[in-house]
Parts: sequence; structure tokens; C-alpha cells
Amino acid sequence: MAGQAAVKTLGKKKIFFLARADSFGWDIRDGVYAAAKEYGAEIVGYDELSLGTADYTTVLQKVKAAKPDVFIASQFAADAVALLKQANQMGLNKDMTIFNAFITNTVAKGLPPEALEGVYAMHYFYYDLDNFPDKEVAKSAKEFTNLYRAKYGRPPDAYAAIAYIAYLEMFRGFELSKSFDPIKSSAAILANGGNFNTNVKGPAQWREDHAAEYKYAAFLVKGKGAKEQKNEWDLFSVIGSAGGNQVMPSLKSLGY
Amino acid sequence: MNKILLRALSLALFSAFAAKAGYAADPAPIKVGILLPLTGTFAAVAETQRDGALLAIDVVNKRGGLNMPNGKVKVEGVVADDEAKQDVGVRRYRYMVDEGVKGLGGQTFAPLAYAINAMVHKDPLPYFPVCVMSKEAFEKGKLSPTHLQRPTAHGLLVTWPVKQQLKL
Repeated sequence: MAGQAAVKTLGKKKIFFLARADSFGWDIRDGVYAAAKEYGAEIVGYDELSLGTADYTTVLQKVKAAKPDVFIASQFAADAVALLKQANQMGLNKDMTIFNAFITNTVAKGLPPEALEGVYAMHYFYYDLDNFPDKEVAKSAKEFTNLYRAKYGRPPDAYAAIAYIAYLEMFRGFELSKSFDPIKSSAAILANGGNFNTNVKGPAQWREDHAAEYKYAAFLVKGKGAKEQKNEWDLFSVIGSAGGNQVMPSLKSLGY
Repeated sequence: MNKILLRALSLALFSAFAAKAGYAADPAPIKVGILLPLTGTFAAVAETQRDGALLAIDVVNKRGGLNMPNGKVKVEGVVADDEAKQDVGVRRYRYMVDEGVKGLGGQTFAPLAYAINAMVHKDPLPYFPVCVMSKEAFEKGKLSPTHLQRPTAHGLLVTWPVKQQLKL
């Protein structure tokens, strides 16, 4: 019903999607196509490029010509830096909304502020959650950020948080099972519903397929321009979050 | 002279006993692998992954180590570069296993994580890939029983923000 209302109210939207030519990009493509189908949006262009592509001129010319409302790209890390820089140089930011599927602070730091400004993306963990509605999560994010800053002198990035959570869970498995046996330690953290607290971004749960289902899997962020940035690490505004089982493939679809 | 010799002998025996007792109360540290693409396209992100892993190790060691039945066990991180290449990553994974790591985390390049999952399936090791693997890798029967990781559903995860975009 919400989808229908959005389509009726806003009319058909046009999307150009650029994938990375591997499972990472193709899984995102499937998600984008599912959203487009639900909301009656039109995919006006699709392309895919391999990991490590440095020059996006040709594909960005195609994007420009297709005149989408939203240009969604799955490029990541250094690929995303190159893409977003070139998109800005070619003026795409003025003509359409740019959405980089998953972003990190290292990508943002690699961009001039004008190329970051207004770019939407998902961020697995943005350190500044002071204005986030869930104050418990904001508090744990701050504690983790302070711990990280004390060691490294800079705020943690998304993938630092992921690694931190992963290793602490590995250690919790050893302690719970009182063993370094891989089967026993794995079973220990999956036991009792697999519930755990990340101590970084709220509660989570290990599922039967060994994937972690987070209450806050990722945060929707919008890149800040030079005027909005109060310091060198003030890179994004957090404008939403996504999590829970609706952002996971169903266990049934995976054969469980 | 005999008294001095006796005291020296007693001291030596006490020291040997204390050292043995200390060893029993303080078991040898374990190693865990941190295998990441520290060169190439993902290098900057991989450095942050490495730092997060090392911080977790610090946190555990600062509280004395892992609480295990034979006492507190400290953790050492063994860092290696997988270069986001399947052949290099698999070789360095084998090196880590030879080094006796008790668990492994890492990868930013999903296809390499899939390859390591296959190896872990054959010879179980706690494996925590800190990247995004394909949905297919989580299908029943394909996943190693000792493989655990963060959300995998990139595609589905991105559905929600795209919906938000369509509303903007």
C-alpha cells in the first residue's frame, strides 16, 4: 500500500544502476531491481564494470544521456573514490541524485567536499550518532569511538567496527565453549537464539545460516559539503537506519 | 661455605618451582589470523579492518586474556596481506593455518572469502569474514559449520534506502 501511494503521489522514477561485475554488485543489483519493481520505478540504464576500474568516463556519459532521477552505483573503496570524483567533475550531481550503495569514511576522505556533498549511501557504522533516536545505541557508539580514538587518534570507520565486532564474537565463542574447538565455539555463540550485544551499534542475533541480523544493520547517510563540515571527520549526516529480518534473505529462501 | 651453597641451591630450586608454577597459571598465548587486502583497491578499507581487529585483541588482553579453563590466555594477531587475489589469499590462509592460528577473520573481496569458506568447510576453523559474501554462499549445505559473519544481504539491504530515494 505504501509503495502504491508513493508511486501514485510521486509518479514513476527513473534509475540508472552501475554494478561491480561480481557477486557483490549483482546482489545489490537484485535488491535495487526488487525495490524498483515494488515501487513501479523504471530502470533506464544498467552497466557493470570490474573491480579496480579507474576511468568511468564512458559509463558516466551513458548515465548522463539516460537522464535518470537517481544514479545508483555499487562501486566500493578506491573504485568509489574514482567514480564519485569523476561524476562530480562531469556535473552529474547537479542533474540527479547520486546514491553509492555502501560507503566508508576512507572513501569520503578521498573526495573533495563538493564531490561528497549530497551523495546518499549506506554506512555500516558512522561514528557520530549523537542525534540518533536510539540513545542507547548512540551511547555505545560513543564509547566505542572513544576507545578507538584513544588507540588510533581518529574515529572508527564502518569496516573497523565490523572487524571489532567479529573478533570479539570469535573470542566470546572460545570463552563460552571453554575451548578453541571450532565446532564447539561456533555452536556456543549460536546457542540460546544466538542473541548478542555488539557493544557498538546495538543488539544482534546469529541466525541459523550463520549470518548476524542486526537491529541496525546500516545507516542511511548523506554526504556533507565544505560549509557543513565542522572538522576533518565531519563527513556525513545520519538520516535513517535499516535492520532486522527485512534486510536479510529469508532462511526459507536459503533452504533452511 | 656449606650454608652458602645450601642457600644457593634452595634459591635455585625455589626459582625453578616458581617458574613452573607461573607457567601453569599463565598458559601460552594463542594466535588468531587477520588476513586482509592491505594492497590494492581495498587497501584503505582493509587498514581500518585490521585496526578494528587489533583493538578487539587489545581489549581482551587488557583484561588479562581469554577466560579459559587453564587460566587467562592472551591473544596475538597474525596479520597478512591477501592482496584481494584468490591464489595469494589461499596461500596465505594456508600459511596462517601452519602458524597454528585458532581462528581467522578478514577478507574484503567476497570471492576470496567464498574460497576460504570452502577450505574451512573441509578443515574446520572459526572463520569470520568481515566482508560481504554472496547470498548464494549462505545456502544450506554450502556454508562451513564454523563460518560466522555479519549481514550478507547487500542486495536486500539496499532495497530499503532505494525505496527512500524513490520517495524523495
